[in-house]
Amino acid sequence: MNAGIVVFTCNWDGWSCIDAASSAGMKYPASVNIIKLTCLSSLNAGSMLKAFELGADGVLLLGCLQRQCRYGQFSGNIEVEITKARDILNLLGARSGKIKLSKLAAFDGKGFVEQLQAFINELTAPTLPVKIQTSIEKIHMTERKIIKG
Amino acid sequence: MERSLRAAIIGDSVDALQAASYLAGIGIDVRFITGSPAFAFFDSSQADPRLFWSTVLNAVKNPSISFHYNTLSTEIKGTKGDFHIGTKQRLSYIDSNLCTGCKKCEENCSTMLAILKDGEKISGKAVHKPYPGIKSVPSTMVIDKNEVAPCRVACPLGINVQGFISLLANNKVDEAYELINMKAPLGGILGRLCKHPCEEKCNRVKIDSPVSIRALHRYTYDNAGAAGKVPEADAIPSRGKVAIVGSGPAGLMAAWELKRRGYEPTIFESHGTYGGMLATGIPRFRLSREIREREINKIISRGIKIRTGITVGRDIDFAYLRERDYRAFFLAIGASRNNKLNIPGENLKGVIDCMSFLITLNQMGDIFVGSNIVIIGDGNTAVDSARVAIRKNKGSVKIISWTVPDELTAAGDEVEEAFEEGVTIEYSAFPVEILGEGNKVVGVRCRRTRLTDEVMRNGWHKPEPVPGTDFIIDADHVIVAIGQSADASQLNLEGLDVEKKLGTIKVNPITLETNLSGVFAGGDCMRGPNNVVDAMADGVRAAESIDRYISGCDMEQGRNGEPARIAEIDVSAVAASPAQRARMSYLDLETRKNTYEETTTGFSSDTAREEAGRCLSCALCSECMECVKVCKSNAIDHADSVQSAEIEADIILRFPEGKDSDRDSREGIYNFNFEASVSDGDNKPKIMAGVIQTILDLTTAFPDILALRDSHQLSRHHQRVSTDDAEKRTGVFLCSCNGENSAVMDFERLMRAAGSRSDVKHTSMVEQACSENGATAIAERIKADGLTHAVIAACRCCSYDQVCYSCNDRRILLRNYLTGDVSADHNAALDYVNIRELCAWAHNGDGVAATDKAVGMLEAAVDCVNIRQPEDLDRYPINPVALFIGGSNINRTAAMTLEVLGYKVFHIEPPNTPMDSSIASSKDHAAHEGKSVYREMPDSLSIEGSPGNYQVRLEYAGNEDVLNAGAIVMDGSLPQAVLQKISSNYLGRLCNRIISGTRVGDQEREAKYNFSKYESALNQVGIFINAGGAGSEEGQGSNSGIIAAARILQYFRSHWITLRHSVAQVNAALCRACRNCTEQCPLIEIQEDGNGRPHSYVEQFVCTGCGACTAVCPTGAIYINNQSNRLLAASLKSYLCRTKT
Amino acid sequence: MAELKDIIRQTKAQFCLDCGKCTAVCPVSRFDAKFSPRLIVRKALRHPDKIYADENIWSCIGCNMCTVRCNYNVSYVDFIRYLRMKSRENGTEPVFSHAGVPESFMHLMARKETKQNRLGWIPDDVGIDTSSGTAFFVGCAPYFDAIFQDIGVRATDSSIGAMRLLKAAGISCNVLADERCCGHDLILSGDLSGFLDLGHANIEEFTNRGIKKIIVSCPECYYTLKVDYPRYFNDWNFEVCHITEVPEISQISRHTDANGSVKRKVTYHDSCKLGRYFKMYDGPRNLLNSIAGVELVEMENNRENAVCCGASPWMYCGSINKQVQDERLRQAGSTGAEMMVTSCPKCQIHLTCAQKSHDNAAEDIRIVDMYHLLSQSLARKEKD
Repeated sequence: MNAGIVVFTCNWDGWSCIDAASSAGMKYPASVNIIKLTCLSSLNAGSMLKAFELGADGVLLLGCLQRQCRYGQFSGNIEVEITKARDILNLLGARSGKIKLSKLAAFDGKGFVEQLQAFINELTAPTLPVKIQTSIEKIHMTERKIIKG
Repeated sequence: MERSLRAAIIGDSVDALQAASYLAGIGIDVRFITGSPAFAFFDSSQADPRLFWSTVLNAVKNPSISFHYNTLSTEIKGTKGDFHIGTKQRLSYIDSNLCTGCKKCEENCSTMLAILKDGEKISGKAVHKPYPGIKSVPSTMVIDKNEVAPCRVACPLGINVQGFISLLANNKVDEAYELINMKAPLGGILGRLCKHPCEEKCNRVKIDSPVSIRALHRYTYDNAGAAGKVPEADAIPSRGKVAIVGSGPAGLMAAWELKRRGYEPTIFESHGTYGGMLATGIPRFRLSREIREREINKIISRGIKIRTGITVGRDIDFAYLRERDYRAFFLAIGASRNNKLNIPGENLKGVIDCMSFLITLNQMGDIFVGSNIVIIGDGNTAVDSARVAIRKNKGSVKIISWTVPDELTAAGDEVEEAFEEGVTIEYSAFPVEILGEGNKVVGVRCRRTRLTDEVMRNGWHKPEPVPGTDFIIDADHVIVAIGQSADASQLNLEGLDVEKKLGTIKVNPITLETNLSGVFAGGDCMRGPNNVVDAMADGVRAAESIDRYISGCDMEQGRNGEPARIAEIDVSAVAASPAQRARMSYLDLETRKNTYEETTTGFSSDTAREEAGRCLSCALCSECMECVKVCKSNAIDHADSVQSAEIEADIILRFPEGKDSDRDSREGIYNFNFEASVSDGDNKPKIMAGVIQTILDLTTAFPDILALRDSHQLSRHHQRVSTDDAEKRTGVFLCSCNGENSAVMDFERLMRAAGSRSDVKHTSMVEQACSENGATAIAERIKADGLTHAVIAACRCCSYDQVCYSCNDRRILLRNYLTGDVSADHNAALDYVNIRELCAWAHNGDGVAATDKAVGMLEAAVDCVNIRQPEDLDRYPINPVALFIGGSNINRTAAMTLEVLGYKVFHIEPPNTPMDSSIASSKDHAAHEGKSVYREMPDSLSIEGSPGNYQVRLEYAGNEDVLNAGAIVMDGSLPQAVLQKISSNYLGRLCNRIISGTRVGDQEREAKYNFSKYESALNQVGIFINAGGAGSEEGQGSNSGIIAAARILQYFRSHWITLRHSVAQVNAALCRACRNCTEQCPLIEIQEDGNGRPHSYVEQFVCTGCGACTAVCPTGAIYINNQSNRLLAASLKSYLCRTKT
Repeated sequence: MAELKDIIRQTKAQFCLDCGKCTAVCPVSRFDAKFSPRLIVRKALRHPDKIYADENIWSCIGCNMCTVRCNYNVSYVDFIRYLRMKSRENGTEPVFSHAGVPESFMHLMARKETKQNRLGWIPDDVGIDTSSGTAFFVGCAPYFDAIFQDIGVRATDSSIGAMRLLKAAGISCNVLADERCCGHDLILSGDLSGFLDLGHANIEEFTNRGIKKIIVSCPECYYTLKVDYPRYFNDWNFEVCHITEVPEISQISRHTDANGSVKRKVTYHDSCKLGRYFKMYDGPRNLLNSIAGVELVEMENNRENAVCCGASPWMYCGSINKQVQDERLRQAGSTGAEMMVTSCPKCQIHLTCAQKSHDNAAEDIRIVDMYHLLSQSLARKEKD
């Protein structure tokens, strides 16, 4: 299946992996659309959802290993944004797409191709939508306890 | 000193590269000398690959560093200020400035080298990447060579034997033909008759038997497409007429070579047919008439006049020719006088000389042929005669040789054939009388011989008859074939100097000129009876002499140079093809005996390829010139021979490997070697300290060092994106990368996809966007069509100034050319998409997919261009004055250093700051020179102005003072009391905040304003914060002080603060001043506009462009131009809406 | 889509006298000299070609102040809404707030194949009656929760509150698993097609679930279902009522007694839709008054003069909106109330956002949702 996949990658280690893979002529589906950012910390939930709105099946985020970020962005913006996007996607039903974050060491072309392939398999595998518990629901769970108690 | 300071750096470590970048950064002209062919990215050997790689790239991108790769410094002459470094260069035959690493040459290289490395077979082309399979910079190719192949040296005509063999191995027959033909035509003849000295020298004998080169030569000329074609007469204006006497191999070659050199040769041939011995002496089963005429006509048809049936010296004489403007003569009349036996019975009927015998039969004449023939003599002619004879008489044919089988003059394989055909040989027999009855031959009386120690001209032992061993051989027909000798007398050439005994014409062995000026001689008439190839070589040599003679050049200069160095190889290390030497197949015996046609049938194409595959490629690169044909950038020069050069420098920085290396401690030479320099990663500080020290030394040597020319701006190009969308005119440029991209992708489709868009005003293809020509072409087009935007689809991936780890020299060059000096005089905003690695390389198996992807990327780029916000990358001048706040030793040393370098310095110090003696003295000194000004710490200090140009306001009780400085240098260890005085209003200017942010102890502030990770960003706007603590006591911190000075110097020498791409911008109207961004980044602050409305403010000069602020902005007020939400949405649309359709 | 001239007629724009009353009362004009309802109309009439590219058409926050004041009650908001539709048609891309997350999830929701998973927030104590022909229309609350955790507003509290009220009033109703966003923000931001998709999907869902009557708590949803749906969908035949109109609700509130509870000062913020559009001023106030110990105080501007929360359809929400919000917050602050009660989750979100911002007005006033408040008072009562 020709899964429409968008790869948001940071300009540094993330990109270096894609570049390494490409330069080495490693095979990966040409259908992946690669969009380069200076740093993953600049990516917001909006752009991820935009991808799905425009028909992407999956969004792969490629970034540097923790502590390797050139901008010292360890604050985890991206995790927050991913959670937002995932919560929305979950409300929209599990069929609305998946987001995956991979942090790779510089120039790990092999790693990129593997991660990508794994992701594609995950997307194309005919699995039943697994209901993920979103952070909102967690809030409400706790609330129910309060009400009951 | 007008010119800028020149520094040579010897080494190839990270440190060396950092030093180079630093020196270049302060405007010094750097010559970087490294032994390696390129900088390779090794995952393992580098402690921090990313550091190494970005260091490499930063050095490579700097135009004021010139790299000398593959270069070893041999000796250093001269003194400080005038060093001359002798260097030896390992030739790579490829200009790394021109080569784009497109690998076309490698694809087309015909030489596959295969070696055995501990049992493993490793193979690769002769032209290849310096580090195959590993990322390296520059992305140039290199060629492996090893002197000259023995076969090539052995060939009298200098034919590139290995070259054409390697081409044949790749089934490139036509190319092989061309290659041979460049040196010598008549291949069809040489391929049959050449005595192939090449094969004697072939290194393959060390394994089994030589490559059958001659047969391959023949194969080429029998099978090449051009073989049958008769070339057009080339109409070169004549440089003069030359007369050639004799149309044999020597004459023909001379004519051919002279014609090539633009002369007008005319051949005079006494026989009716031309070709000399080729036509007369060689039996047709060795050289068929068709082949002979085909080959010779290919020469004649090029516009060579040939007069048959005219004997010069009898029909016309030289005086006659001279009158007809023949300006030089080449005598190539061969050796046709038959030697006599001078024994009784020689005049009997039935005794005939072989020449008459062969000529008559060759021309199908009728002649008596006995049934029991004896042939006297054992040369090739003898064997030929024998084989002709046996075809005629179907009876007995016996050759009488005076020597032993091993020392037979005739070529082995022909003797073999002769035997097969039934010819027999009587060895060690010396004819003493031809017996006859009446005048009819009945036999030959012979005497046995034995070999003496005397060695003859051909290197063999002279046999001598042994008395009393006579015996008789019956015969009814005797053919005398004891060779011919030259006879110059027929020329009737007055005063021509001739070898009495042999009858050969005497010549100068180098020029082949006879004693008569303008008259040259070659071939058998000069050598005596000999072989085709040497005769042809004489023809070429004579032609050159005649050229020199007529154009009045020195006749000998450079012609007897030292012999070429022959390639030695260790055959045991070569992974040689197992195939055995191929033999041509023969017609079966019966047919052979009954035909005059060629008895051998040439190689089949398979055999030829396999046989060619046996070549050991002794010279590695075979110089088949295929690479030169495909290199679009003319980067390859096989003739390159510049192996040593002299590099000039004022100072030299040596970075020897290892700890204890031979230090060269002459003045002006600086040795850097750090223990474990790699392991502890970044040596920059140490390097800078060392380097600044060298510069300090130099200021004494060159007081005007600071008159250094402006350091190179990487980008002189200020991008302005037009504000008015209506004005947008976008152009799309596709780089075929020398056909590499276009080979994988459908460029027609790409062109259509781009061209069909209404918003694209121009689409075109360039072959090499990263070459100077390519860039200029693009720039021209941009100007011609008044484009405001250009999308360049090549190997570059972004338009940023920063160099990320994935970058490489071509990508950098591509941008530098288009934005740097070469072709920056256009005003378009540039955008790049990488269709090389990302499409052509990653999906080279699937052209359609690759093209699809490329189209998507192109459309995305163009779409983005259309909604790009206007940006204006301007730059601000730096005021080279430093203001130091606080008097730690670090600050003091830094200040002092700058003073020595001639910069103006302000010191603002709390009263009675401790000061050690050395500095105290220098303080007075500097103050005296007016270079430095001291101020007490004011009651309040605030900093205004623009980056690079700060106004520092000092307020004292009553009066106030304003100092202008481009650099603010903080002592981080100042006590609270002092820092309190610095205006640290949260809403104040950035530098106030930063400085107050350096306040220690205040947890909350420390947390909020931890600027350490922005240090380099701050340094770019001239704000320097020196670590407190160290250096506050006597004597300490001098080193850190120098490092600080180095940083400041670098900043000053960059002259401008240039705004970078991809920095955050604020749309104040959309900003709710919600503080999310300021929480993310201490470089962002809230300011108030004219109406007192608060909004975020980003100091774009220090913004590192990570974009964290944009992610948390709820309204989209803060954005990075080239990755705003709208831009991302646009690219997503162009990608996904395509993928889905 | 309708022609400009038709719209001019429909919205009575041609009657605009340029008198300037609208400008005088427009909260945006007060801070943004470039903007004024009448100016928009004038520009539209004089240069119909240029108007769609004019940035100012995006500044209106749709509070309807102008129309209320206008002697000829020209419906400026509808007019501007139309201009925005045309402008979007011509390819204008507004700058979306929150990186366009709301816009995206609305579009994703509009898809036919979408099977939502949006009921996770419903507490166990409030069951839903899937057989009922009455539906409680939730709106985007669950989605807002996903985005606005960081400013600490939980829109579903409002919905939960409303459902508890309904339960207490003995009204059993269904909550639809695949209810879509009503589309208010899409149509207000000029995205007509997006709006229509949502509408169709909703109608289909209502029909499939056999819904006859729809109870709404969110004022904007209410307006959209009540006014826009009939306007745009011929097959619309559902009864729509606002929760405050449900008689039983006022019943239960009357039962809550005021004994022995502390006095609490509370001020009520009229949402534009309930207020100026539907003139529902007293309903909410009565409900609040009925809470034990609540003392309701009014802000300087209230009822039809109430200042808008500065809401925007998730776009161009900049410093002007912020200033409108600040003003409203200041008014609330100066009442000395401890709570500012909103009947609209978006009012709550926008005001809280403004309150959290830099140099915020009225730092300490709590911004509380009305239904949440009411339901809590119920809970307290049940305890006693």
